[in-house]
Amino acid sequence: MEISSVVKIKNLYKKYKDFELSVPELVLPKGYATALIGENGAGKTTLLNLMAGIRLDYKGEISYFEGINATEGRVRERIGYVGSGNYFLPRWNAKQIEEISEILFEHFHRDRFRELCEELNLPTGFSKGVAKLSDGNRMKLMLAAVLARDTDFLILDEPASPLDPLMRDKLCDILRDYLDVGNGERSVFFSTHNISDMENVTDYAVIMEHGTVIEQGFVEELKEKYVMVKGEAADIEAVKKIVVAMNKSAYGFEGICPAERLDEMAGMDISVEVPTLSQICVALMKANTRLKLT
Amino acid sequence: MKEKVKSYFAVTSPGYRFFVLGLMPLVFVGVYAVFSEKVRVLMLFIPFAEIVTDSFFLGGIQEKDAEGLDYLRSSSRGMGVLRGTLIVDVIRRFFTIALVLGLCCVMKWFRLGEVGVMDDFIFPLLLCYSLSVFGILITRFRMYHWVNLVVGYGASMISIMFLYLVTRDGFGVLRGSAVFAVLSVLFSVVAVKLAMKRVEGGYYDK
Amino acid sequence: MNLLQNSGVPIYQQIAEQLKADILAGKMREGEYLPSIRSLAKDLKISVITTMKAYEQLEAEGLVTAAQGKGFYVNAQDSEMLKEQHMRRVEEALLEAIRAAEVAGLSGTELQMTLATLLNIEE
Repeated sequence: MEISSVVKIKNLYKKYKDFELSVPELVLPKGYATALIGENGAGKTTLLNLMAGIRLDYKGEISYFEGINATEGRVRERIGYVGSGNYFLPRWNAKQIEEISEILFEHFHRDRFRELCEELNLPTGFSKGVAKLSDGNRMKLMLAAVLARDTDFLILDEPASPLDPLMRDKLCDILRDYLDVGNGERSVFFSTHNISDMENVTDYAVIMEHGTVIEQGFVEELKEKYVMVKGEAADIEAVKKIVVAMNKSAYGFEGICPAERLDEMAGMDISVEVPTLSQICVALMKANTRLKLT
Repeated sequence: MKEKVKSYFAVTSPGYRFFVLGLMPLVFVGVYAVFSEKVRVLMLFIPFAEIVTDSFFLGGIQEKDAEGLDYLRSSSRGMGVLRGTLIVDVIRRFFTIALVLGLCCVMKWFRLGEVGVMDDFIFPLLLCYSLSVFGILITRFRMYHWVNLVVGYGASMISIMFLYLVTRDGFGVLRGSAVFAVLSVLFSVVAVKLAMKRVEGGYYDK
Repeated sequence: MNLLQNSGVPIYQQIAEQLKADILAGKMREGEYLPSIRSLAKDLKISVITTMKAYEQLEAEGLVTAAQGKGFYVNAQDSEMLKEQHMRRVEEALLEAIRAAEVAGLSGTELQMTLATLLNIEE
């Protein structure tokens, strides 16, 4: 299939203290939802901040919508960014956020914002200010403010984390609806630790470790590239060199293995399954982590 | 200017505006009306109140990694909005103080039939204003209420001291006014520039 | 549409199978457009790429055609091909019956008799 891109990143580099972000190339498909997955400290938020224009100290190039450079102001109009708790001034209330958004963005729709606040069951008016809201409600508020605008690309930093299971389901609906309305012109890029909850809205996955991208692809392609293998304990030693990562016990093992290396297990008593995205990601993270795993 | 005022109104809360534009001046004028014949007594309160209330507005904005600015940063107009707000803020401070002192002078004239424009209005205004703005320059670096209180008290004390020195030692209110006029302009410019520099520094690791 | 999460059959394949059944049964006519990939994803609560993959499979089988920027429409099902498709399904079902008969220890003649009896009952 032919797919155009929404973001192109080239030779992106940023160093901060002992952390290094280095992405030689990253192209996100237009019209789809892309998940950014990785350990704490892998550089997900840094990458999203650079893309959203919250941070400007980097080397390299980020361009949007087939050729508009990220540094051009007009591109901000078309991008909706939802960040961490550091987002609104702590004393702002609903009314102020409405007013400030109208000033900050050309296509902010007050009615839509109110509808969304109601739809997401935000405390009406919340005159006390953003600081008094719970993390979940603050996330809903950021989403409402961003979705009340006409945008073509959403950058969401951990949108699912502070939300309850029902609201995560709703978030998936919201994102699918956003893509549907865009009819191929709108795209979403979100980071997440809740891969299972978000899998049914994830089209493309980017997996990061230590400031760089270690794997990426359409989910359905990744599920063909990797397979889940289960087998007997006796084969563990032989399989160890083939699998990306595995869980083993006295009873047997299960591991993720590149499909092209399945031949090397010929003759072993194994069963093969299609893995979930979460299983693939955890295996890849396990293979690259600096965590001490036993 | 209309854009800047609009920005100021969006960034400040109605409660804050009610306080600094309504309640605070009213209380000052009330205090003067009830207790005092000397306009300068207000110097005890004005810089203090101006500095302490700032923590409900832009407290801690000059801090490294100051909170709550990402929404502004994510818009191409965000920094313009913030600059507008900061400019309107210093102007608002000047006019609030001018309004309070002006009303008190009018009252004094009705009461005593005499009022010194330099002694009772211009000099106290410039003194009060420059010290208020100097105070917020310091307090905006950190979001601690006790710092605000200390700086607030300090500014009020210093202003009383200057007022005393200038009128007693024959330095003269005229020369004093000239000095504080220069300081007023200087502090106003620095207040806007410094806050913007700190906030824009947030785009980089500065 | 019934999609089973843990059946072992990938979701995209389940979608493709069910749409294929609809097309072969004539429920979707020639020239008719399938729902857009993003609206089907929304309705089925699955990712866009999954519906995309299902449609691509149907396209590979020659059941639908992708029209640039407009979506996927149902191809003319020429009777030869249609018949072949149906025939393949019959063969598949019969093969399964033969395997089951082997397990049960039925002879070829017994299996044929069972088929004949069932045909009679059905008629």
